[in-house]
Amino acid sequence: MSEYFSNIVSGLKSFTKGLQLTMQHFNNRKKLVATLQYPHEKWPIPERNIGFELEEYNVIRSRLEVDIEDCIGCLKCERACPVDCIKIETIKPPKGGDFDCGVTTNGTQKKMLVPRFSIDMTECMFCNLCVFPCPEECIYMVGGPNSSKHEIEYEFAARERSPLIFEFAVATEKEIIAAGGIDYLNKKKGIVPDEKPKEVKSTLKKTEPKLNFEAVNAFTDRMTRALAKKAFTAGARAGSDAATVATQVKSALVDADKFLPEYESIIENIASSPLMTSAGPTTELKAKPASGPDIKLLNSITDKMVRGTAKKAFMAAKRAGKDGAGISDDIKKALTDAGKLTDEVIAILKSFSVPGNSEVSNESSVASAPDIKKLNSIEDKMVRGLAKKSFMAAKRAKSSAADTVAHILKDLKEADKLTADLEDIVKSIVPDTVDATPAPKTEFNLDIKKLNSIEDKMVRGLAKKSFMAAKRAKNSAADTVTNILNDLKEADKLTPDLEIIVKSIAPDTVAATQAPKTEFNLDIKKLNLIEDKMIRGMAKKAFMAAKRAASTPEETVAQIEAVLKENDKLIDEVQTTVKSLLENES
Amino acid sequence: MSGFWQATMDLITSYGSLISLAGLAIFGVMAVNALVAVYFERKVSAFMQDRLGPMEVGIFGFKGGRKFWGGIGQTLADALKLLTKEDVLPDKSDKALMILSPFIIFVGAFVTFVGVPFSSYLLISRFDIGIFFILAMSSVGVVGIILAGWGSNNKWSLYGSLRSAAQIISYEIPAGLSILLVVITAGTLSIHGIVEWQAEHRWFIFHSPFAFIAFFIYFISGVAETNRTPFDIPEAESELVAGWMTEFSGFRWALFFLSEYANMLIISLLASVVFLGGWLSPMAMFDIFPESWMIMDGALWGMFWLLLKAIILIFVMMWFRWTFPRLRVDQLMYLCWKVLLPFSLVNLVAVSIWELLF
Amino acid sequence: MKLTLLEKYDQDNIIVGKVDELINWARSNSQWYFQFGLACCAIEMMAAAAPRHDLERFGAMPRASPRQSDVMIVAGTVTLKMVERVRRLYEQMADPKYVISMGSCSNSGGPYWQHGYHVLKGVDQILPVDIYIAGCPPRPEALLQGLLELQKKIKEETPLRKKTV
Ligand code: SF4
Ligand code: SF4
Ligand code: SF4
Repeated sequence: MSEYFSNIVSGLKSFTKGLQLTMQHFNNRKKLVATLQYPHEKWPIPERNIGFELEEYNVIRSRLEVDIEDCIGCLKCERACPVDCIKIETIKPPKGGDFDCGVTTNGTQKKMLVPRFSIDMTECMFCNLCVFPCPEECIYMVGGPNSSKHEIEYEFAARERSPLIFEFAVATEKEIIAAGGIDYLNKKKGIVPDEKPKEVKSTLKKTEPKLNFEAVNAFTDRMTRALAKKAFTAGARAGSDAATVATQVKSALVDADKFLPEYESIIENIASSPLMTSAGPTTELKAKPASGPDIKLLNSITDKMVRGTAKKAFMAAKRAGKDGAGISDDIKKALTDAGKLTDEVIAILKSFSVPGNSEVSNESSVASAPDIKKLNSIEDKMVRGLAKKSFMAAKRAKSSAADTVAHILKDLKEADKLTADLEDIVKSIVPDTVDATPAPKTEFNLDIKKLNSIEDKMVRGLAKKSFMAAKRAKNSAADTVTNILNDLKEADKLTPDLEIIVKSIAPDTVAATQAPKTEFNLDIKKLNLIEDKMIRGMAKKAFMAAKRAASTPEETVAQIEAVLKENDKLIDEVQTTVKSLLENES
Repeated sequence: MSGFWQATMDLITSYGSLISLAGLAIFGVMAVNALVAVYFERKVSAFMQDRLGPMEVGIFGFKGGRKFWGGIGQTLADALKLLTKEDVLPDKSDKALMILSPFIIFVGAFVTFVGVPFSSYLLISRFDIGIFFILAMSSVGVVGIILAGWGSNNKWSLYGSLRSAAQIISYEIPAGLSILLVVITAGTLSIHGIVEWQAEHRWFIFHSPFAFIAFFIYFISGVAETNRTPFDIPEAESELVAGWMTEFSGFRWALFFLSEYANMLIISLLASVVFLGGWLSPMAMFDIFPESWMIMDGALWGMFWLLLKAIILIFVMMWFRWTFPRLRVDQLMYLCWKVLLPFSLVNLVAVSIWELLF
Repeated sequence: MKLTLLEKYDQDNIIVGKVDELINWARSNSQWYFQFGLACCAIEMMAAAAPRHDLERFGAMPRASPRQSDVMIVAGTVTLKMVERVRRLYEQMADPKYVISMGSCSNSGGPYWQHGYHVLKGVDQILPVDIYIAGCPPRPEALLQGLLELQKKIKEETPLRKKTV
């Protein structure tokens, strides 16, 4: 009976408690509502790396982008992709030919033309594995650490699947032909060359100039054109003259029932034009490489739309082989058409015609911009989010650095989160106010990697955590060490070994301990003589432990032996091996 | 026979316009109630979960406030969409029952409104047995629920409807007993009689400690009767897909929705009439307020007070819904038969004794 | 030319056009989605519905029953065993119904498109997909944008007139 009533009472208690909780959330909605109204405001994409040591590991599932001008067609990314969603095709221009593939921004001479570089974003699993092997760093996930190269983009939902298959190659048909990729083109268009292609290709490469398809290309119907080309090629290679080839083409068309009266003029054209081109488009192409202005300059345009238009015009102009001034004219025209030409853009475009200038202006604009990354040192997640939010808002409003800071501070104050520490951090985002702080910061050059020698995972985590905390607080080296030690002590994990390791991170404190350490030059490789895997492992472990504890050689050997003995593994053979460590030493 | 028809026709022609007017009014109240209540429910739930809820849908380009209370067109869009959706009647279902059942449920709620007052003057019909009528009619819906579950020819629907029937019938007992206590004290089944009693004495909830407990018992049972969380095992999404509503789509499902929110309104109105002084202003209860404030008891003010009380109770229902997880079936029955029922029986006896003593 | 009533009705005119607009407004702003998580992408779908992104702002709320939902978000790997169920659930939905294919797996088989002996290579082989969202899993924002894209698509419809193929 008493249980019955106590049940009811506890039920009532939890009932009121639950109601209180939800009511608190209802009442405090001004503070607590966490929603970002997506199309109107966007959550700044975190620039973090989850559990990866690599700083540049981009875990943002945004989109892959390829700077195709830099791609050397090495296929490394294609091979790295676990799901095979990158499809690259390359054409190697004939040796000794005068086709120039250009130079990458790293200065590497390209040896391949890349006529196809498609990434199927519907198959991609955004694992980033294709990014690492790329020698030119030209394939990357946009945004995050790469936002300087390409702004973040993850919104590309489409009504069809095809827009999600991105084609990055920009090589034109002309270029492909110039690079000797006629077979590739034919294959792509579904034309199978009837003669042994390889032999012909080799002869073509070395001595003969290209076939002149200009006249044949006048056929508008694809099938007809293909047929005509086939006959044309066959005729030309057999060494006939233009008139014969023309009749051959005609008869081939008639055979296939494709000949129309209006083709007569084209046939005449074929008969009258030369069969081969001599230099062809190659000379035109050669003008293209390196010295031209860099498309990346355009990245400093803030408006996304404008940037897109500008880049499009840029690529078009570049493909048409224009120089800096010509390109900037083209872009200007495109932007005026779209009604987007602002002063900002004009300033950037000016730098096109004066190559030297460009970098300076570009850098200065970057330098004065406040840096959102500084905000990462805010510890509280919520507060950091808030700060970043208002930062982005300010950025979008194109506020100046000082305004931005004021803005953030105001927002934080409103949310009742402003502490003195916070204020410092926020103020630090402005480059000029930074000056005061960097000094102690540069001094902080402790090496977190030293902590990796801690064996216990938990302890290592703890130590690293307090290391980072100290780093963020810009403590001096000695303070940091004491901090870590204190933290470990609190967690009841502090062993003498540990203390040594921790102390080793500070350069000055190291000096004392390092002396015996340098003397320790026993060769662990000797232990490899031990055959049994288990025993070898144990011995090595003990060896390392001894090494870390900076033991003398004798001690080391003794320790190893002790460990092995404990585990009943100390056979004679092993013992001699272990002892041999010492022998060679002496 | 022809005499009967004659009489009916006479009745309809003489009262026809009145009846249809009343019907339209009730339907209007139900529709507006559902539109507004659904919007607030979504907003309340959102705020309790630190979200914003509907924000982007406006009427004629007006979305409402930008900060919190946006998206005022949301339920209108929902309603319009539901009306234009396909009306699915599954092949193997009992089509007649599936068509009929939403209307039975709807009619249950609809007819109940005949007896429910909105103020002392604003009500369709003034019965002498108002309370009894409301209690009886609000149970009609169960028939519709069982038919819906059976007609769907779907195991989840059937489970859901049987659970619902068991639940509603069980909780009707403590609800009825709690109201019986009021009826005993006031000595009348008429709504006006009960409110007059409260005007003379005090609000019923303050009549005695037992009446205080009875109010909560009634309210909890009422929430259970509307099949809302934490008592929504008939719908239990995690177990039964959508319970007895699983096979319904479009307009007929909208009727379920309409009835659910109408039932909420009925329960809240009845609770405020019976326990919270109905259309009496809170000031009338105490003598400390100056006489001039008593004008706040007029016809319109009465409606205001009654609706205010009802709306607060509806809010509490939403509050419950977004706070508590749903009860298990056995817990549900435990709560009804082993907690609420004994307490309401004890209450009944205790209040009778209280009345004799004081 | 004399038009029959049906033909007249099929023409664009102001009444039909306005009613179309009204219906499209209602439909596009009330896309109740079918809770339909098949694999890891479902987690991001939940994240999109959770406070930070809150799908409900656009009037999209989850429904458990296919009869009452308007859009099926296929979030995850459609295994061959699941194909039959996916298809049936789609058929159980009441018209007008839409499909959002979320994530690489349902777009094309994703990581399994080549060697996945057990995975359907793209849910568009069994359902008419309206919106494809790339990602593995897509960010919640990408799902929101997909929903907005779907709304745009719905607004282009003419529900009162015969569908022109
Ligand atoms: S991110 Fe991964 S799956 Fe996508 S293309 Fe690169 S390697 Fe392939
Ligand atoms: S690894 Fe880089 S350079 Fe090589 S093909 Fe891929 S993108 Fe081009
Ligand atoms: S697309 Fe990626 S995240 Fe989505 S279900 Fe497939 S494997 Fe999982």
